[in-house]
Amino acid sequence: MIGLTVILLCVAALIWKTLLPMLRRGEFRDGVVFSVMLAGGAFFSFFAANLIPFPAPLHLLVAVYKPFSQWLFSAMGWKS
Amino acid sequence: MKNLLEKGRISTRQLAILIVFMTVGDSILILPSLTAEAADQNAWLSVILGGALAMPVLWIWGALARFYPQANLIEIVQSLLGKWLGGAVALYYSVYFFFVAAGLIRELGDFFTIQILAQTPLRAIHLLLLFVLAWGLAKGLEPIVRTGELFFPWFLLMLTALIVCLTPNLRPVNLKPFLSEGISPVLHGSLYVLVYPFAELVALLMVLPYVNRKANTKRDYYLAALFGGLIMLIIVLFSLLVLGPFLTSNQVYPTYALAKKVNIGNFLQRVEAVVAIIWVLSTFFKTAIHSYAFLLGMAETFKLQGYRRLIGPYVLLQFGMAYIITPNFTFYTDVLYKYWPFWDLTNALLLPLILLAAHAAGRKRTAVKA
Amino acid sequence: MTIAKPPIASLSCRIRKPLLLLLCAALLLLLTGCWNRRELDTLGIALGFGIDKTESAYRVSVQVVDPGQVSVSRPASPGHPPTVLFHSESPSLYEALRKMTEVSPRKIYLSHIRVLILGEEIAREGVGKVLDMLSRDAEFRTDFYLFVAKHTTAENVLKIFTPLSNIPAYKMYDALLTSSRTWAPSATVTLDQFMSRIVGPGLNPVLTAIEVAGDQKKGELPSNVSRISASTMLRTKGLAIFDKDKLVGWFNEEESIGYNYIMNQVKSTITKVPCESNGLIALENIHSVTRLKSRVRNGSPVIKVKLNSQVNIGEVQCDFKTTEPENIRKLKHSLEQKRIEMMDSAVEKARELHVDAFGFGNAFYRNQPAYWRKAEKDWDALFQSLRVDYDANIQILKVGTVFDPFHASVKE
Repeated sequence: MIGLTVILLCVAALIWKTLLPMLRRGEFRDGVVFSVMLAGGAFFSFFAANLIPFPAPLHLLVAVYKPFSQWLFSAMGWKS
Repeated sequence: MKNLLEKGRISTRQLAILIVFMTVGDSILILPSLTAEAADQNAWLSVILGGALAMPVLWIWGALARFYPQANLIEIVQSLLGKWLGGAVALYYSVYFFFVAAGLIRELGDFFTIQILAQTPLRAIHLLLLFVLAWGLAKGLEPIVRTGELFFPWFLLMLTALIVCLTPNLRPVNLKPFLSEGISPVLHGSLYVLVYPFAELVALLMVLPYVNRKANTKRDYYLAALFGGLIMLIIVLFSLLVLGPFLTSNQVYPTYALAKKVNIGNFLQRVEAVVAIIWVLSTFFKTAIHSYAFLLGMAETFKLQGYRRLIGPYVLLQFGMAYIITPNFTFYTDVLYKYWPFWDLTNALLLPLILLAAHAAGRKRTAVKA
Repeated sequence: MTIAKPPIASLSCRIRKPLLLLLCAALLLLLTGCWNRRELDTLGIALGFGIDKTESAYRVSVQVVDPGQVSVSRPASPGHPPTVLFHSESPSLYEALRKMTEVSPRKIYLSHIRVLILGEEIAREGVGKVLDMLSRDAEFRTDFYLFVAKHTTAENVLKIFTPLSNIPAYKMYDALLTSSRTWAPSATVTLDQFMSRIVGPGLNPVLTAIEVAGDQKKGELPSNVSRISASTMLRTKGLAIFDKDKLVGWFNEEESIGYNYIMNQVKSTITKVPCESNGLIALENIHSVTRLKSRVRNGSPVIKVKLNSQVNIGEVQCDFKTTEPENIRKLKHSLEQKRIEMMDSAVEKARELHVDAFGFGNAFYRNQPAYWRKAEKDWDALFQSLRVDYDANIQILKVGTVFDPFHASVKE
């Protein structure tokens, strides 16, 4: 609860101090990128602040490189 | 292509210091254990081999920097690969820098919560680190680099003091048997040396255009990397000599165990927390440059007006990502051991080679046209 | 490149000062403590750690210092011992330590341990599992010495009052350090050395044995140290031989010194050599270096132990003229023989117990790795039959501050 509040406060502060002036100046592309990053940040920070488990992005990395890694380790006889 | 986003300029000496900091980076924490796990008592040979293998990689980046002296990596990508493919690869590189930075923040948090502050939650450490990081990034590239310049003498001093204080504990017998299992384990270890100190320097390609080029810049570029590699060699060598191969591979942070061994006349002892400062410094600068590379990369890819405005969301993102990037310590170590090196190699070796090839192809086409 | 002025510089003086003060105060908030702060008076600083075994659990005993009794500013109040022993039992070592708070008012803090004592029973069963917690926990460091309690439990050892040194754990640490430097049938072994020697191929560790010399019950009372001659003392007695992580036997005094010679761990010690007539000559070792050379001759392993020492004559109990070079030459020869005997007796004892305590196998692993790969599985048998050549080279440098023995000049 307190985590969510703090995150929302930070988001609000960032929007007020950074996003609104950007939009006022007409920098819409910046605004979009900013908002996407902010939304992602709030999303992930929510999980972090409340200690909720979330599947790690590194699993994607493992999935991509596992075949090559396994082949290399066994071909070179390296310790696993 | 004069960059409008970054107006700072850094000197060659600052670049050299930055390279040394980034090479030592988090490798001083994780490398001895990884290489000793792979190559046992011959881990020091891995460091030499890995360093030698890294020189061609540095040369490839140097070549790219030479052909496009004013452009940072993202700009090179976009100019060589066109709007859509270039944009995709640029975004990919930015995301790569982001994840490296997240991993580094997590590594520093892990180090503190494993060795020193056992009951402190990770997020507290991350919060402090991100606060300082955000402050530095808001100031810009030049202040970060100048801070590095300020801290560098202290870094060297403490490192030298650590090495000197450990000399009574050296046992050369720990290095034998020499190459008893052949060169394959040494090659395995050299993979980690190639990747964690050196290949992750690719973020520097975002910074190189802002260096004031002098006659000695090229030479210093290689020398600084070699110096960083020398520091790593000494650290791995001393870990083996003082702790022995079994303890070096079994300890999570062998350099911390090394620092625990300092005992001069029963007076200068228990100084390991002070030595931990140098590791925080080196990891911080590596994180700062990767964060900067991400922010600048995002700004370049989407053609934004500036990168400073993205710092706020970036901090929130990293706070979350540094926590979720790995569910536990074991998974992260497993990834570092088996999978991450290949991702680093793709981004540091394969992609730049493709870029060079694209550059050469482009030149041939214009030559044919003419 | 000019440094931009911070925004605070643009504020007027009236706001700036209080704002700065506020910022400093806010910074203080960050400094006043971290998550992991531990007040000194909530810590039970453990100096000695003992591990024993009951039928189904580990029995952990911890010697905690009582700071009020050892402070220099306030005199110790009588009736309060300087240290307190707490103990608890659990199948898990880690749990046993936490369980100690059932009796201890403070949580046990382990970073200042000076000695770790393993009870004989648990040493015989194997200490490998015990060592895991010791190396895994962040509070443990590796600068304490390990002992084996001979013919007693670790807890009994930790309960003895020691003279001359207020805190028994310090006494044990200092005694071991001093004795290993000046008398030599003891070995200072830290945790990481112990672990490395267990894991190392062809290598087995030894630990110093400590015993309670005297009556256990009397030693636990403060009256033990209220007399000039304490009735019960803690004594280090030779070395304990381990087969990997299991205790299997003991080196006696002479064998322990022989062991230390082979392992190049002797700094100074006294060697007695009998005279040709009645009496003995005691020589003090000044500097000693031993090198182990491993060689494979005709397919069999050979170890050469090369000992180089410099000694001084310290005590002459017979009619031995130190001024005659021929005497010195004969003495040198006897001394070399004596040293070789000591080293050989250690090797014999180790062979009796089928334990390569000297790392002969390790020498082959380091220098002839190809041979070791083949010989490793048969090392037990090979260790019994391998040839050990001794080459002792001792120089007798000085004879002390007088020439001939004084009693030889006494005219009957």
